[in-house]
Amino acid sequence: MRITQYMMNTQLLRDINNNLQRMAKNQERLASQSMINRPSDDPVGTTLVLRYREQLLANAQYQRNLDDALSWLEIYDTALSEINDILQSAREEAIRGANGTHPEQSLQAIAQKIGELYDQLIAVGNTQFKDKYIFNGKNTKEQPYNDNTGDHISNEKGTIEFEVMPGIVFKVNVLGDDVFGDVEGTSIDPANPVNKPDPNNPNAFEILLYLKDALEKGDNERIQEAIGLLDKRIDAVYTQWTDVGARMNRLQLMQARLDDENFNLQKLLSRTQDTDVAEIYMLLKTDENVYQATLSVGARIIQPSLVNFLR
Amino acid sequence: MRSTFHGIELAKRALYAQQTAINTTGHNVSNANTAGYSRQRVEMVTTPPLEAIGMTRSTAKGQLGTGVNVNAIVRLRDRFLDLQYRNENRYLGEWTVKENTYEKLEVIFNEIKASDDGFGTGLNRVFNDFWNAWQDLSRDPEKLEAKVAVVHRAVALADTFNSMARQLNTFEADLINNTMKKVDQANSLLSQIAELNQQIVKIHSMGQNANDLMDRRDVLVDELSGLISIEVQENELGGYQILLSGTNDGSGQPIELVSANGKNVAKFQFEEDTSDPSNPKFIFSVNGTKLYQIFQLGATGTSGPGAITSPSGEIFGYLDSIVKVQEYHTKLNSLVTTFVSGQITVDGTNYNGINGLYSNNSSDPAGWLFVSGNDSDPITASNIQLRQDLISDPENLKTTNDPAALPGDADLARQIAQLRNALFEDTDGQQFTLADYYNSMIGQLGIESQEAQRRAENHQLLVYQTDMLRQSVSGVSLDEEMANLVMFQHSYNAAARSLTVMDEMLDKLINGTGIVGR
Repeated sequence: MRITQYMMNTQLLRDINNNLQRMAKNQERLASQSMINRPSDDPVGTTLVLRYREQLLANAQYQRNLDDALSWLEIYDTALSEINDILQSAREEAIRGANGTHPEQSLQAIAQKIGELYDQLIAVGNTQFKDKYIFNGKNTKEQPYNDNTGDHISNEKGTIEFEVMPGIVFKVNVLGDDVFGDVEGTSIDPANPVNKPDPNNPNAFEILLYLKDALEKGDNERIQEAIGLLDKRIDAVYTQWTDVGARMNRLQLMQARLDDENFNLQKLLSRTQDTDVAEIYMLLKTDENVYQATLSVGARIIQPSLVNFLR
Repeated sequence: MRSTFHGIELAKRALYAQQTAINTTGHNVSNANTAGYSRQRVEMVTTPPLEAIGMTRSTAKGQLGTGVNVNAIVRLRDRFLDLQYRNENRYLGEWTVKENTYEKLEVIFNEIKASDDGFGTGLNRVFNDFWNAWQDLSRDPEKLEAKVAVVHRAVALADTFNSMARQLNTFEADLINNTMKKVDQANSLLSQIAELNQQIVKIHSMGQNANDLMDRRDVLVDELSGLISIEVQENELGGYQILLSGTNDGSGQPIELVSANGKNVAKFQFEEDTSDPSNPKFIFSVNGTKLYQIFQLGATGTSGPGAITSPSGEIFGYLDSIVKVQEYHTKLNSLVTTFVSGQITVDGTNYNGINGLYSNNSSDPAGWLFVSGNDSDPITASNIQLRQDLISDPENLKTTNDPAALPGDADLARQIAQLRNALFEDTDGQQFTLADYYNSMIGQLGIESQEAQRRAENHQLLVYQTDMLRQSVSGVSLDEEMANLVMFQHSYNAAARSLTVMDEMLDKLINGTGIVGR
């Protein structure tokens, strides 16, 4: 093949340009620390990276939802434990009062104690978490129980649910009625506590009022009755408490699963996207050497022609 | 019978011929770097010998030579390589344009580039933030700040769509502009080629070689071959008939762009056709034959090539690019349409997109989440926006469709947040999650872009190789020219010397002969 100066020049320029392009690519990979800087760098990798990123972002949100759900249940756990304590001590007091050997005065003292427990119970019923009443279903801005009587002001039975994993909607609240018992149809009146609470689903506030009244009047039969009702209520609280515990357990399991998934996703993302610095740096060094070589060869081939030797 | 002065005439011819050769070498050296220049060579032939055959011929022995003459100055060029070059060059033109188009599209759909937190800043990210804001709201529906966050994210989402649509529109307009420029360039090339054709044909009919004009015309034809697919036919007088390949002028011949005598020149046109005002389109045509039509985005009608098979060259590269940009714009619009009104099933009930879910399938835009700004217009990527009253007062954002509207009721917020993984049905009945739709769109863009890069690179290599072969035949080698120069100079010197010898001989004969005994 006949070779001309123009051909050698063009060839050299082309080679230099190719080398520079390769260098620029590897430099970009190093500088951005990412092997994929535009979809055409790796179309399949791109869709994978987008999916992993999306799942990671979604998982971060599910983590937050899970954490929040757990906080809710922890609040219920604390509240239920307090309710349990209150009802247990009411029961102990009642048993003390039911002995029948106490003088009138100490029965009054026990009744007063029950009164205090009653007030405490109302306070627990109006527990707030993040400025929300936790025992009033979805009507979180309205106080569920009357501060003085424990009578229902509002009795919402809605379920509060969070999505804690893709497609898994998790109930985070506990209904006041399930814990304290229903007062449907009647209203609590501290002035007239002689009404016997519904034996099938006795209301905690009514029981305490009923017990207090019985103690004040020294009515042993009604005290015994109240103890029976309290047992029933305590059982119901236990049921709810167990349920809350079981739910927390489930959430913790899901949290662990989400953590595992995140770990795997991070690993996959890194494997698809991240630059292997050592490898690329080595490639870049090679590119640099090749570039230098091209330049020095260029300097040599371009310079002389026959012109230099003719006199 | 030879003349006494034969030798002088012979030496003169030699001097002229070598001088011409030296001048041509000088011309070659001068044009060593001229684009499209083909090296020239002086074709020398011996002049006819003195003794003609005939009755009166000399009886002297030997056919005495009469010297040298310049027959022609020819350019060294391989037509077949020109053909190959032009064939490749049109694909190079087409794919280089497409490669650039995809490169810009990749920038517009700026998905993959990682941001500071490593999750990018593209639509994918903005969608994620949008769903996450709804998740946060679903946990704290009572909080105004959660609503404000949702409103911000929704505005950002709409803005992202708007900005992408705007960039796509600008890009499309740029491409249309570029096409017009390229069409103008093609027309100008055609008329220049026609003009050169006329001159070349004239010179050739006088029996000369119009080497330099032919070189100039070949440069123009090379340039034209990058713009559009052409066939070149050369006639006996050196005129180029340029044909538009892949077309039919009605008689089975391709459409003629320039006639061989340079008298007829076709004209390309790229204009907006508004004859149907409801459906304007751009038409690329030559002499009234439609070669390509492009409908506006969203119009009915199929854009694409007309009466031409296998169109290529930069012009068609641009036309295809416009259609490609529209295709991605349409996809983006279809994503928006599906997002706001595509059928979804939430907790067993069918809704028409996020708007349907939010408004409980109300057909009144006043209750929708996203609107188009003008209720008679369909919602597209370029006009999607959050309802104004939600922006001015985020408190208006609903978290439930329950008439009681309890403050802690976030069922709607949760349902909307869950749309992240919901299957949306588009107008074609296809079901997909929004992220999948968008990701596969980006994946497709990547694959197409990669293909364009690969093809552009391939054709670049082929064009380069053909050009090198051409250079090998036609290019000026300085070493060669120097060697020739030395050779011709020596010949010149020798011819001059032979003239001197003749001179001395005649001097001897005239001044030194017949003086014996003087």
